Amino acid sequence: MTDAWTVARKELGELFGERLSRRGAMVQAVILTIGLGVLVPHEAAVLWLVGSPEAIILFLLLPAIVAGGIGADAFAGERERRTLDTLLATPLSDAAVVAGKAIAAISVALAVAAGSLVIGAVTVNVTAHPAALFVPSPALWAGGLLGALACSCVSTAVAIALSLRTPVARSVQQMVSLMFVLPALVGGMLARYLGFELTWPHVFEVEAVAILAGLAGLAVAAARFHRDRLFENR
Amino acid sequence: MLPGEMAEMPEPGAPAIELADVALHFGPVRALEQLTLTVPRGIVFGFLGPNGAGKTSTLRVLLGLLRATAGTVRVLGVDPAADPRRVRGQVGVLLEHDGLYDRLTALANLEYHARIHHLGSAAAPRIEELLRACGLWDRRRDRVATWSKGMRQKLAVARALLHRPPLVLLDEPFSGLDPVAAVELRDSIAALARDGTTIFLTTHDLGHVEKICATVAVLKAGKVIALGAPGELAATAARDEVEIRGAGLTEAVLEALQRDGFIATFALADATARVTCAVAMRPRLGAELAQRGVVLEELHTVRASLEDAFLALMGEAPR
Repeated sequence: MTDAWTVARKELGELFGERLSRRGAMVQAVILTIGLGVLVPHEAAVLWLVGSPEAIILFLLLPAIVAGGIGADAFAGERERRTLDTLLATPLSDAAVVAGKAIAAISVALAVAAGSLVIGAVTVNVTAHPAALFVPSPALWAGGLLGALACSCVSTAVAIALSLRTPVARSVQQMVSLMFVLPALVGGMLARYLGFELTWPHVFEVEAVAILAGLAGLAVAAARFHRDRLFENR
Repeated sequence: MLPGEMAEMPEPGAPAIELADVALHFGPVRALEQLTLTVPRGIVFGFLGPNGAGKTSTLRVLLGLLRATAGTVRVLGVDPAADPRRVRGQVGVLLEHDGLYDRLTALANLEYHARIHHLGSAAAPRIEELLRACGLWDRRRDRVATWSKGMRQKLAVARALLHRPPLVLLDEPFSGLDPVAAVELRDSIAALARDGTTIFLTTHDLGHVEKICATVAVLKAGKVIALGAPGELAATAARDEVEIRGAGLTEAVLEALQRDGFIATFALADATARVTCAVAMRPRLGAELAQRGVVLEELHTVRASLEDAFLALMGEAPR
């Protein structure tokens, strides 16, 4: 676990910790957090006030795309930057390398989701003028955070698995985004057309299944990690 | 290995590297074939060969990144295929690309690898020691993306030495370095060997190899075709060339010597001639020149270099 954390710290350091890159990454995270935390709750304040599960739909989708983007960089990015061979020559275990990269991706997605939920609650209070101070229900908090965890687990697993075999990180990012956006749009339209009513028990069941699927996907990605197939110029 | 502890030597008496009849096949491609060599501890070992000869594949076998199709591999007494993490923990590595994270500072790059090797509280003083030795301490908070190739290469070497490995594998460390930086790096490598570290060096820069390597192996098409000290290998490629300097040395004199069978070819420039002369003819060459009115200032056999030997082994004529 120490080794996985070592890898995760390095990944987060590359994303946030160092001067110019931190500025760029922070700007992205702030835009996303404000978009998710201000614009969406402002447009759908009623859903927040009544505690509808539909309020968290975007909290599932966007963190998944964030995590997928970071996961896509896991190996394809290292390959592009010519750091992969050196990583493979370290004594880190295969599991630690994959787990560290997954932890970094999922933790950023969770931070974006948590920050957005807090900002969202403030936004609803400011723009919807509720009679009393609005505090999101525990179900909304849990549903949003668990949903972000579930979706980011799945997207990270998919992104890392693709990243192992794809030379360019951007291709993986595009594939992962499409894999999440298209089914979400089609699923949403279909549910509306069929008159399907989303309830919290449904949401938690789906989230539990998705978390298990994500963890299984990460285990599969770790199993697909073969150093002898990864290095450059084989 | 516990955090903070330095790696324990797996087999103190074992050679740094032992390869016996190693083969590495990728389907029909035979990357290595009957590769046998032993690298004793505490020397700089040069591993030479043209592009595609199998040098990088050998490094990958040594690191346990590739499993040999046949043969026996031991690195510090350990089979890297059976226990690759143990081997990688004992070995310092600089591969073809420096492998530095551009978006991190020099300090963050080294701290990352210090954590990988569980250096604990020993990390900070060791990092400072290495960065000061490389002259990079004042730039430690710079992102390495802004650095020159020479500075990056020094940092990558420092990274390879961070955990005080008994064996360091360097793949083309002089590549892209200016002459001053290359000589500095060469001197650092020689100093490491004097301190007991074994250096396994692949490079195309034969001048550096002649100066620091105790032993070299020449690889061609996956096989070792020559092994020995650089001087011994150079001697095998003894040239038939003799350099002559003296008053009265003219083209006419040289043409006459050629006609009489003393020399095969000649080139004359600035009163200095370089002639091809069979070994049997060399004892008489001075007398023949004197007889033809040449006042000799210098006559000596051109010493063959490692480059001559290498080219001869590759089937190329010396230049």
